[in-house]
Amino acid sequence: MQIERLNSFLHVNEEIPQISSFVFAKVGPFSIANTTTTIFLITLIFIVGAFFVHRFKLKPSKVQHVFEMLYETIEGFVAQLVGSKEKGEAVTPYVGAIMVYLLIANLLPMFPFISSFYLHTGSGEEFPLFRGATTDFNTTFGLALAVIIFMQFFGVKEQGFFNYISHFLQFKHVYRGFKKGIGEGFISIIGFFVGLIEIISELAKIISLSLRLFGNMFAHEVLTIILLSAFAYFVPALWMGMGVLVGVVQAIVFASLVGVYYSMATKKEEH
Amino acid sequence: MTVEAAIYIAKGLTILAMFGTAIGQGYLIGKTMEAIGRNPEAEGMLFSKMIIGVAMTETTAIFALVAFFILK
Repeated sequence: MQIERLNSFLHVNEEIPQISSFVFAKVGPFSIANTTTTIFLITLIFIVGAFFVHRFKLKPSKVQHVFEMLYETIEGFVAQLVGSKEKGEAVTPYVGAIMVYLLIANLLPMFPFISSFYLHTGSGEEFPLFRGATTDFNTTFGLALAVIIFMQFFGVKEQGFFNYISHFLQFKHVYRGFKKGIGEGFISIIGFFVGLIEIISELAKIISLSLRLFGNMFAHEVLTIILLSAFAYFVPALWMGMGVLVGVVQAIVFASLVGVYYSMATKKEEH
Repeated sequence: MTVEAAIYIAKGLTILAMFGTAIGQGYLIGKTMEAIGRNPEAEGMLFSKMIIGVAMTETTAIFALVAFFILK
């Protein structure tokens, strides 16, 4: 049954966005969607930021103070997360970059005028030019995939290749167990299967990390539009204010999970 | 029963995941409150960890929500 919706002073009807973003151009094998343009915009913001950072002096100006405060806050947060100050300093560039990127990506759609740009296609359809980058599963999945591959790299670098691989394929433990006795040997076989499950859990990290961010941001956008079609004035404003909180918290959660995965990958095993 | 009706029933069933999420979040926040009551000085640290925990617990509901949107 189709419910008839009325467009009036109190009801603003918009179409609920599709899960997939709108692809409007193709450059070679790469498709340019309306989330890609947002990513370009974020990159532009980063380039402007890099321009400011390059002009930093020993005697800080007001802008420099803000940047340095942000960096020190993130560094303290990461150090607390990873456990030690040296490890924190080593990983802050990665975790901090992800955190700042996600903060901008999550909060950019809230800026006025950003969602006002529309794109007209030849067939008379309209699409927003800048759709929130994290409301597309491709963005979050790419980020999560890159993060997990990077964590394997860090694990190999910190523990050595064979040492790191032995977490997943525990041939050494089985060999040692059978040397001790039959009972120990069979227990070590269970450990071997647990090691195989570790590989699956590594893959599941990618899915959970990307789906968490995507789901939160996309659900927030859909609910905003549903609320706008119910009461157009007061309630959506509150919900959009909530969106700032959701965006900040999700960026922090993603970054802190990256930190936790880092400390898990570089943990020295005690014997 | 048509396919469309089955899809709507499935959509309703995915919302059941929110039961567990609500219980988990309530338990988490309650325990944090207890800890803050016992040791009020640790409030800042506990609160930020609680927010992260709440967001992680919410993931289950978010998975259900994604399934809700995928069902069509």
